[in-house]
Amino acid sequence: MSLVISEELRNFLLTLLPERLDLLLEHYAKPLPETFRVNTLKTSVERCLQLLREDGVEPRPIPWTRHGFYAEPQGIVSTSIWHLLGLVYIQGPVSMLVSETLEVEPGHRVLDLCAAPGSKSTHIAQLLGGKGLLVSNDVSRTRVKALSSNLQRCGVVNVVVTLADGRWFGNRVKGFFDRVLVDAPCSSLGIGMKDWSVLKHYSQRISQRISRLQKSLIFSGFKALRPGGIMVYATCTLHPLENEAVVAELLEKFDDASLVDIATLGLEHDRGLEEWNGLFFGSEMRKTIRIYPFQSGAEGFFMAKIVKKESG
Amino acid sequence: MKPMERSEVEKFIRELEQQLKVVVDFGENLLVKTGEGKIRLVPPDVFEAAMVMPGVQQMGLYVAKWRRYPTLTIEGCMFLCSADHTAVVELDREQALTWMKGGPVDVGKKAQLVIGVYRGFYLGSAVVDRTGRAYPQIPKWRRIPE
Repeated sequence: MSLVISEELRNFLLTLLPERLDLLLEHYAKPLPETFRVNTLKTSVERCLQLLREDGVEPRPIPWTRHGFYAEPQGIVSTSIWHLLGLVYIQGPVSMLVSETLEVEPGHRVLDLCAAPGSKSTHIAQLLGGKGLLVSNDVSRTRVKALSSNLQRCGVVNVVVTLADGRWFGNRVKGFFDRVLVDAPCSSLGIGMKDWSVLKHYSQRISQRISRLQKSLIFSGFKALRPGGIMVYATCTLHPLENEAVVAELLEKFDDASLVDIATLGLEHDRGLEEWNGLFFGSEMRKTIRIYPFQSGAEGFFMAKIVKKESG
Repeated sequence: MKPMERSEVEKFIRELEQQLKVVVDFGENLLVKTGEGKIRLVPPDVFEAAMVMPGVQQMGLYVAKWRRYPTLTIEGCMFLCSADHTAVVELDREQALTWMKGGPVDVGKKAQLVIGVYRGFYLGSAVVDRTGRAYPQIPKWRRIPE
Protein backbone atom coordinates (compact mmCIF):
# COMPACT_ATOMS: atom_id res chain seq x y z
CA MET A 1 0.00 0.00 0.00
CA SER A 2 1.29 3.46 -0.79
CA LEU A 3 0.65 6.73 0.98
CA VAL A 4 -2.14 8.79 -0.58
CA ILE A 5 -2.98 12.28 0.63
CA SER A 6 -5.99 14.35 -0.34
CA GLU A 7 -5.62 17.21 -2.80
CA GLU A 8 -6.70 19.70 -0.13
CA LEU A 9 -4.09 18.41 2.28
CA ARG A 10 -1.38 18.63 -0.36
CA ASN A 11 -2.35 22.23 -1.14
CA PHE A 12 -2.41 23.13 2.53
CA LEU A 13 0.98 21.55 3.21
CA LEU A 14 2.45 23.32 0.18
CA THR A 15 1.50 26.66 1.72
CA LEU A 16 2.67 25.62 5.20
CA LEU A 17 5.92 23.78 4.43
CA PRO A 18 6.79 24.46 0.79
CA GLU A 19 10.39 23.38 1.17
CA ARG A 20 9.87 20.55 3.62
CA LEU A 21 6.84 18.80 2.16
CA ASP A 22 8.83 15.83 0.83
CA LEU A 23 10.47 15.41 4.21
CA LEU A 24 7.08 15.33 5.90
CA LEU A 25 5.66 12.82 3.41
CA GLU A 26 8.71 10.63 3.92
CA HIS A 27 8.00 10.56 7.67
CA TYR A 28 4.30 9.90 7.11
CA ALA A 29 5.35 6.73 5.31
CA LYS A 30 7.48 5.47 8.22
CA PRO A 31 6.09 3.68 11.29
CA LEU A 32 6.42 5.45 14.66
CA PRO A 33 9.23 4.25 16.93
CA GLU A 34 8.13 2.23 19.99
CA THR A 35 8.62 4.38 23.04
CA PHE A 36 7.59 3.95 26.63
CA ARG A 37 7.58 5.75 29.94
CA VAL A 38 8.60 4.11 33.20
CA ASN A 39 5.80 4.49 35.72
CA THR A 40 7.59 5.59 38.87
CA LEU A 41 4.38 5.18 40.88
CA LYS A 42 5.06 1.44 40.69
CA THR A 43 8.79 0.98 40.28
CA SER A 44 12.09 2.77 39.88
CA VAL A 45 13.62 3.53 36.49
CA GLU A 46 16.69 1.37 37.25
CA ARG A 47 14.65 -1.68 38.34
CA CYS A 48 12.33 -1.40 35.36
CA LEU A 49 15.15 -1.11 32.83
CA GLN A 50 16.86 -4.10 34.40
CA LEU A 51 13.70 -6.21 34.01
CA LEU A 52 13.26 -5.11 30.40
CA ARG A 53 16.89 -5.81 29.53
CA GLU A 54 16.43 -9.35 30.84
CA ASP A 55 13.52 -9.66 28.39
CA GLY A 56 15.82 -8.63 25.53
CA VAL A 57 14.88 -4.95 25.28
CA GLU A 58 17.61 -2.39 24.69
CA PRO A 59 16.17 0.85 26.15
CA ARG A 60 17.60 4.19 24.97
CA PRO A 61 16.67 7.43 26.76
CA ILE A 62 14.54 10.04 25.01
CA PRO A 63 16.67 13.17 25.62
CA TRP A 64 13.82 15.61 26.32
CA THR A 65 12.01 13.45 28.89
CA ARG A 66 12.80 12.30 32.42
CA HIS A 67 11.28 8.84 32.27
CA GLY A 68 10.91 8.13 28.54
CA PHE A 69 12.81 5.55 26.46
CA TYR A 70 12.98 4.17 22.94
CA ALA A 71 12.46 0.40 22.92
CA GLU A 72 14.46 -1.75 20.56
CA PRO A 73 13.64 -4.25 19.17
CA GLN A 74 10.02 -3.20 18.82
CA GLY A 75 7.05 -5.23 20.04
CA ILE A 76 8.51 -6.67 23.25
CA VAL A 77 7.58 -3.96 25.76
CA SER A 78 3.96 -3.61 24.67
CA THR A 79 3.33 -7.34 25.07
CA SER A 80 5.34 -7.81 28.25
CA ILE A 81 3.96 -8.66 31.67
CA TRP A 82 5.54 -5.42 32.93
CA HIS A 83 3.22 -3.46 30.68
CA LEU A 84 0.21 -5.37 32.01
CA LEU A 85 1.33 -4.70 35.57
CA GLY A 86 1.62 -0.98 34.89
CA LEU A 87 5.38 -0.64 35.29
CA VAL A 88 5.58 0.90 31.82
CA TYR A 89 3.22 2.95 29.67
CA ILE A 90 3.53 2.96 25.89
CA GLN A 91 3.52 6.64 24.90
CA GLY A 92 4.83 8.80 22.08
CA PRO A 93 8.02 10.75 22.84
CA VAL A 94 6.56 14.19 22.07
CA SER A 95 3.38 13.41 23.98
CA MET A 96 5.59 13.04 27.08
CA LEU A 97 6.89 16.58 26.61
CA VAL A 98 3.31 17.92 26.79
CA SER A 99 2.83 16.79 30.41
CA GLU A 100 6.37 17.86 31.33
CA THR A 101 5.59 21.36 30.02
CA LEU A 102 2.75 21.64 32.54
CA GLU A 103 5.32 21.88 35.40
CA VAL A 104 3.28 19.70 37.72
CA GLU A 105 4.48 19.43 41.31
CA PRO A 106 3.30 17.15 44.10
CA GLY A 107 0.30 18.70 45.84
CA HIS A 108 -1.08 20.50 42.78
CA ARG A 109 -4.69 20.28 41.66
CA VAL A 110 -4.58 19.31 37.99
CA LEU A 111 -7.34 19.07 35.40
CA ASP A 112 -6.90 17.02 32.22
CA LEU A 113 -9.90 18.21 30.24
CA CYS A 114 -9.79 15.75 27.31
CA ALA A 115 -8.04 12.90 29.06
CA ALA A 116 -8.86 9.60 27.32
CA PRO A 117 -7.17 7.19 26.83
CA GLY A 118 -4.94 8.51 29.60
CA SER A 119 -1.30 8.73 28.43
CA LYS A 120 -0.91 12.25 29.70
CA SER A 121 -3.15 11.74 32.73
CA THR A 122 -1.08 8.79 33.95
CA HIS A 123 2.05 10.84 33.31
CA ILE A 124 0.64 13.77 35.32
CA ALA A 125 -0.27 11.35 38.13
CA GLN A 126 3.33 10.18 38.13
CA LEU A 127 4.56 13.78 38.40
CA LEU A 128 2.13 14.38 41.29
CA GLY A 129 3.68 11.40 43.06
CA GLY A 130 0.44 10.53 44.87
CA LYS A 131 0.05 14.01 46.40
CA GLY A 132 -2.58 16.49 45.24
CA LEU A 133 -5.50 15.92 42.91
CA LEU A 134 -5.91 14.83 39.31
CA VAL A 135 -9.27 15.23 37.61
CA SER A 136 -9.33 13.28 34.35
CA ASN A 137 -12.30 14.20 32.21
CA ASP A 138 -13.57 13.01 28.88
CA VAL A 139 -16.82 13.40 26.99
CA SER A 140 -17.06 9.83 25.66
CA ARG A 141 -18.39 7.01 27.85
CA THR A 142 -16.46 4.38 25.84
CA ARG A 143 -13.21 6.31 26.06
CA VAL A 144 -13.68 6.94 29.79
CA LYS A 145 -13.60 3.15 30.30
CA ALA A 146 -10.19 2.95 28.63
CA LEU A 147 -9.07 5.94 30.68
CA SER A 148 -10.16 4.31 33.96
CA SER A 149 -8.43 1.05 33.04
CA ASN A 150 -5.15 2.82 32.34
CA LEU A 151 -5.30 4.85 35.57
CA GLN A 152 -5.96 1.63 37.50
CA ARG A 153 -3.12 -0.22 35.77
CA CYS A 154 -0.74 2.61 36.67
CA GLY A 155 -1.83 2.57 40.32
CA VAL A 156 -3.15 6.14 40.47
CA VAL A 157 -4.80 6.84 43.83
CA ASN A 158 -5.45 10.59 43.84
CA VAL A 159 -7.73 10.76 40.80
CA VAL A 160 -11.33 11.58 40.01
CA VAL A 161 -12.60 10.41 36.62
CA THR A 162 -15.42 12.49 35.20
CA LEU A 163 -17.65 12.11 32.16
CA ALA A 164 -18.63 15.62 31.10
CA ASP A 165 -18.64 17.95 28.15
CA GLY A 166 -15.32 19.78 28.47
CA ARG A 167 -16.86 22.91 26.94
CA TRP A 168 -18.87 23.55 30.12
CA PHE A 169 -16.54 22.04 32.71
CA GLY A 170 -14.78 25.32 33.52
CA ASN A 171 -18.02 27.07 34.40
CA ARG A 172 -18.63 24.53 37.18
CA VAL A 173 -15.20 24.77 38.79
CA LYS A 174 -13.95 28.29 38.13
CA GLY A 175 -10.43 29.03 39.39
CA PHE A 176 -10.11 25.63 41.11
CA PHE A 177 -7.02 24.15 39.44
CA ASP A 178 -3.30 24.96 39.64
CA ARG A 179 -2.67 23.26 36.30
CA VAL A 180 -4.94 22.57 33.33
CA LEU A 181 -4.16 20.48 30.29
CA VAL A 182 -6.27 20.93 27.17
CA ASP A 183 -5.05 18.20 24.84
CA ALA A 184 -7.77 18.99 22.36
CA PRO A 185 -9.37 16.65 19.82
CA CYS A 186 -7.96 17.55 16.41
CA SER A 187 -7.57 16.52 12.78
CA SER A 188 -4.50 14.42 13.77
CA LEU A 189 -2.24 15.54 10.90
CA GLY A 190 0.77 15.18 13.19
CA ILE A 191 0.18 11.47 13.62
CA GLY A 192 -0.83 10.63 10.05
CA MET A 193 1.67 7.73 10.06
CA LYS A 194 -0.61 5.91 12.54
CA ASP A 195 -3.61 6.04 10.22
CA TRP A 196 -3.15 6.97 6.56
CA SER A 197 -6.91 7.31 6.04
CA VAL A 198 -6.73 10.59 7.98
CA LEU A 199 -4.41 11.94 5.28
CA LYS A 200 -6.46 10.53 2.42
CA HIS A 201 -9.77 11.99 3.60
CA TYR A 202 -8.58 15.29 5.08
CA SER A 203 -10.40 18.46 4.05
CA GLN A 204 -10.02 21.99 5.48
CA ARG A 205 -13.66 21.86 6.57
CA ILE A 206 -12.56 19.37 9.25
CA SER A 207 -10.12 21.91 10.71
CA GLN A 208 -12.67 24.73 10.49
CA ARG A 209 -15.27 22.66 12.33
CA ILE A 210 -12.93 21.33 15.04
CA SER A 211 -11.51 24.82 15.56
CA ARG A 212 -14.84 25.96 17.02
CA LEU A 213 -14.85 23.06 19.49
CA GLN A 214 -11.22 23.70 20.40
CA LYS A 215 -11.95 27.35 21.18
CA SER A 216 -14.78 26.37 23.54
CA LEU A 217 -12.48 23.85 25.24
CA ILE A 218 -9.59 26.28 25.72
CA PHE A 219 -11.95 28.93 27.14
CA SER A 220 -13.44 26.38 29.53
CA GLY A 221 -10.01 25.14 30.61
CA PHE A 222 -8.86 28.70 31.24
CA LYS A 223 -11.89 29.41 33.43
CA ALA A 224 -11.01 26.38 35.56
CA LEU A 225 -7.48 27.72 36.12
CA ARG A 226 -6.63 29.70 39.26
CA PRO A 227 -4.80 33.03 38.96
CA GLY A 228 -1.07 32.29 38.75
CA GLY A 229 -1.79 28.82 37.35
CA ILE A 230 -0.44 27.28 34.15
CA MET A 231 -2.43 25.81 31.28
CA VAL A 232 -1.03 23.89 28.32
CA TYR A 233 -2.98 23.74 25.08
CA ALA A 234 -1.79 20.99 22.76
CA THR A 235 -2.87 19.26 19.59
CA CYS A 236 -1.31 16.59 17.42
CA THR A 237 -2.09 18.48 14.24
CA LEU A 238 -0.43 21.04 11.99
CA HIS A 239 -3.26 23.29 10.87
CA PRO A 240 -3.04 26.91 12.15
CA LEU A 241 -6.84 27.11 12.48
CA GLU A 242 -6.61 24.40 15.17
CA ASN A 243 -3.50 25.84 16.80
CA GLU A 244 -2.42 29.49 16.62
CA ALA A 245 -5.94 30.72 15.76
CA VAL A 246 -7.36 29.03 18.88
CA VAL A 247 -4.69 30.44 21.18
CA ALA A 248 -4.94 33.91 19.59
CA GLU A 249 -8.66 33.98 20.30
CA LEU A 250 -8.06 33.05 23.94
CA LEU A 251 -5.58 35.94 24.30
CA GLU A 252 -8.07 38.29 22.70
CA LYS A 253 -11.00 37.21 24.86
CA PHE A 254 -9.22 36.99 28.24
CA ASP A 255 -7.04 39.94 29.34
CA ASP A 256 -5.47 37.86 32.11
CA ALA A 257 -4.13 35.22 29.70
CA SER A 258 -0.54 35.42 28.51
CA LEU A 259 1.89 33.10 26.76
CA VAL A 260 5.23 31.97 28.15
CA ASP A 261 8.18 30.25 26.50
CA ILE A 262 8.38 26.46 26.43
CA ALA A 263 11.55 24.59 27.34
CA THR A 264 11.97 21.90 24.69
CA LEU A 265 15.12 20.41 26.22
CA GLY A 266 16.93 19.95 22.94
CA LEU A 267 13.99 18.80 20.84
CA GLU A 268 14.15 20.48 17.44
CA HIS A 269 11.08 22.59 16.69
CA ASP A 270 9.66 25.59 14.83
CA ARG A 271 8.16 28.66 16.44
CA GLY A 272 4.40 29.20 16.16
CA LEU A 273 3.14 31.19 13.18
CA GLU A 274 2.54 34.92 13.50
CA GLU A 275 0.34 34.86 10.43
CA TRP A 276 -0.99 32.40 7.91
CA ASN A 277 -3.01 32.80 4.75
CA GLY A 278 -4.04 36.40 5.55
CA LEU A 279 -4.85 35.66 9.21
CA PHE A 280 -2.77 37.54 11.80
CA PHE A 281 -2.17 35.83 15.12
CA GLY A 282 0.35 38.29 16.59
CA SER A 283 4.02 38.17 17.55
CA GLU A 284 3.22 36.56 20.92
CA MET A 285 2.57 33.38 19.00
CA ARG A 286 6.33 32.91 18.65
CA LYS A 287 6.23 31.61 22.22
CA THR A 288 4.20 28.63 21.04
CA ILE A 289 5.96 25.72 19.36
CA ARG A 290 5.37 23.45 16.38
CA ILE A 291 7.10 20.11 16.33
CA TYR A 292 7.01 18.33 12.98
CA PRO A 293 7.45 14.57 12.57
CA PHE A 294 10.74 15.11 10.71
CA GLN A 295 12.06 17.01 13.75
CA SER A 296 11.00 14.56 16.46
CA GLY A 297 11.33 11.39 14.41
CA ALA A 298 7.89 10.60 15.78
CA GLU A 299 4.65 12.55 16.24
CA GLY A 300 3.96 16.14 15.21
CA PHE A 301 2.56 18.43 17.91
CA PHE A 302 1.60 22.02 18.62
CA MET A 303 1.97 23.39 22.14
CA ALA A 304 1.16 26.64 23.88
CA LYS A 305 1.93 27.36 27.53
CA ILE A 306 -0.43 29.90 29.03
CA VAL A 307 -0.40 31.55 32.44
CA LYS A 308 -3.31 33.25 34.15
CA LYS A 309 -2.09 36.56 35.55
CA GLU A 310 -2.56 37.18 39.27
CA SER A 311 -5.07 39.98 39.86
CA GLY A 312 -3.68 43.28 41.14
CA MET B 1 -20.65 6.82 46.79
CA LYS B 2 -20.28 6.82 50.56
CA PRO B 3 -17.15 6.01 52.56
CA MET B 4 -17.31 2.86 54.66
CA GLU B 5 -17.84 3.34 58.40
CA ARG B 6 -14.80 2.90 60.61
CA SER B 7 -16.25 -0.29 62.15
CA GLU B 8 -16.81 -1.76 58.69
CA VAL B 9 -13.25 -0.91 57.61
CA GLU B 10 -11.92 -2.58 60.75
CA LYS B 11 -14.01 -5.67 60.03
CA PHE B 12 -12.71 -5.76 56.46
CA ILE B 13 -9.08 -5.44 57.58
CA ARG B 14 -9.70 -8.21 60.16
CA GLU B 15 -11.08 -10.49 57.46
CA LEU B 16 -8.05 -9.79 55.28
CA GLU B 17 -5.86 -10.85 58.21
CA GLN B 18 -7.87 -13.94 59.05
CA GLN B 19 -8.79 -15.23 55.61
CA LEU B 20 -6.10 -13.91 53.28
CA LYS B 21 -3.49 -13.85 56.07
CA VAL B 22 -2.14 -10.44 55.11
CA VAL B 23 -1.67 -7.16 56.94
CA VAL B 24 -2.53 -4.03 54.99
CA ASP B 25 -2.11 -0.36 55.74
CA PHE B 26 -4.54 1.92 53.97
CA GLY B 27 -3.27 4.91 55.95
CA GLU B 28 -5.64 7.84 56.34
CA ASN B 29 -7.38 7.00 53.08
CA LEU B 30 -11.09 6.35 52.83
CA LEU B 31 -12.53 3.07 51.57
CA VAL B 32 -15.58 3.40 49.36
CA LYS B 33 -17.89 0.58 48.23
CA THR B 34 -18.88 0.88 44.59
CA GLY B 35 -21.12 -2.12 43.90
CA GLU B 36 -20.49 -5.83 43.22
CA GLY B 37 -18.42 -5.87 46.42
CA LYS B 38 -15.74 -3.63 44.90
CA ILE B 39 -13.83 -1.38 47.26
CA ARG B 40 -11.93 1.71 46.15
CA LEU B 41 -9.35 3.58 48.15
CA VAL B 42 -9.72 7.37 48.06
CA PRO B 43 -7.66 10.05 49.83
CA PRO B 44 -10.00 12.29 51.90
CA ASP B 45 -9.14 15.49 49.98
CA VAL B 46 -9.80 13.72 46.66
CA PHE B 47 -13.18 12.53 47.97
CA GLU B 48 -14.01 16.07 49.04
CA ALA B 49 -13.02 17.49 45.64
CA ALA B 50 -15.10 14.86 43.85
CA MET B 51 -18.19 16.25 45.57
CA VAL B 52 -17.93 19.48 43.56
CA MET B 53 -16.96 17.96 40.18
CA PRO B 54 -19.50 17.41 37.42
CA GLY B 55 -20.14 13.92 36.02
CA VAL B 56 -18.06 11.90 38.49
CA GLN B 57 -17.68 8.29 37.31
CA GLN B 58 -14.98 7.01 39.61
CA MET B 59 -12.50 8.11 42.20
CA GLY B 60 -9.38 6.63 43.71
CA LEU B 61 -8.06 3.14 43.13
CA TYR B 62 -9.85 -0.22 43.00
CA VAL B 63 -8.06 -2.16 45.74
CA ALA B 64 -10.24 -5.05 46.83
CA LYS B 65 -13.39 -7.09 46.44
CA TRP B 66 -15.34 -8.22 49.49
CA ARG B 67 -18.12 -10.70 49.14
CA ARG B 68 -18.02 -14.11 50.85
CA TYR B 69 -14.30 -13.58 51.33
CA PRO B 70 -11.95 -10.63 50.73
CA THR B 71 -9.56 -10.49 47.78
CA LEU B 72 -6.96 -7.89 46.84
CA THR B 73 -6.46 -6.53 43.33
CA ILE B 74 -2.99 -6.16 41.81
CA GLU B 75 -3.01 -2.51 42.91
CA GLY B 76 -4.54 -3.41 46.30
CA CYS B 77 -1.32 -5.31 46.99
CA MET B 78 0.51 -1.95 46.89
CA PHE B 79 -0.80 -1.48 50.45
CA LEU B 80 0.49 -4.78 51.83
CA CYS B 81 2.66 -4.55 54.94
CA SER B 82 3.22 -8.25 55.45
CA ALA B 83 1.84 -11.59 54.40
CA ASP B 84 1.96 -15.04 55.95
CA HIS B 85 4.22 -17.36 53.91
CA THR B 86 1.29 -19.76 53.43
CA ALA B 87 -0.64 -17.01 51.66
CA VAL B 88 2.01 -16.12 49.10
CA VAL B 89 2.94 -18.20 46.08
CA GLU B 90 6.12 -17.46 44.15
CA LEU B 91 5.44 -17.87 40.46
CA ASP B 92 7.84 -18.58 37.65
CA ARG B 93 7.54 -16.80 34.31
CA GLU B 94 5.20 -19.36 32.73
CA GLN B 95 2.99 -19.46 35.81
CA ALA B 96 2.89 -15.67 35.98
CA LEU B 97 1.75 -15.49 32.35
CA THR B 98 -0.92 -18.14 33.01
CA TRP B 99 -1.98 -16.18 36.10
CA MET B 100 -2.35 -13.02 34.00
CA LYS B 101 -4.47 -15.00 31.53
CA GLY B 102 -6.87 -15.83 34.35
CA GLY B 103 -5.34 -19.21 35.27
CA PRO B 104 -5.74 -21.74 36.69
CA VAL B 105 -2.26 -22.18 38.16
CA ASP B 106 -1.28 -25.25 40.14
CA VAL B 107 -0.07 -23.96 43.51
CA GLY B 108 -0.60 -27.01 45.76
CA LYS B 109 -2.86 -27.12 48.77
CA LYS B 110 -1.43 -24.12 50.59
CA ALA B 111 -4.47 -22.09 51.52
CA GLN B 112 -7.94 -21.24 50.24
CA LEU B 113 -6.87 -17.75 49.25
CA VAL B 114 -3.40 -16.88 48.01
CA ILE B 115 -1.48 -13.94 46.56
CA GLY B 116 0.77 -14.46 43.54
CA VAL B 117 4.23 -12.90 43.32
CA TYR B 118 6.45 -12.74 40.28
CA ARG B 119 9.95 -11.33 40.68
CA GLY B 120 8.90 -9.24 43.66
CA PHE B 121 5.74 -7.84 42.05
CA TYR B 122 2.35 -8.87 43.42
CA LEU B 123 -0.21 -10.14 40.93
CA GLY B 124 -3.29 -9.91 43.16
CA SER B 125 -5.12 -12.71 44.89
CA ALA B 126 -6.56 -16.02 43.75
CA VAL B 127 -9.05 -18.55 45.07
CA VAL B 128 -7.63 -22.06 45.42
CA ASP B 129 -9.85 -25.12 44.87
CA ARG B 130 -9.64 -28.45 46.66
CA THR B 131 -7.16 -29.83 44.13
CA GLY B 132 -4.73 -26.98 44.70
CA ARG B 133 -5.45 -25.02 41.55
CA ALA B 134 -5.49 -21.24 41.96
CA TYR B 135 -8.01 -19.13 40.04
CA PRO B 136 -6.66 -15.55 39.92
CA GLN B 137 -9.20 -12.77 40.32
CA ILE B 138 -7.90 -10.79 37.33
CA PRO B 139 -10.58 -8.69 35.64
CA LYS B 140 -11.24 -9.64 32.02
CA TRP B 141 -9.93 -6.34 30.65
CA ARG B 142 -6.63 -6.90 32.43
CA ARG B 143 -5.98 -10.44 31.19
CA ILE B 144 -3.50 -11.42 28.50
CA PRO B 145 -5.69 -12.38 25.54
CA GLU B 146 -5.64 -16.12 24.74
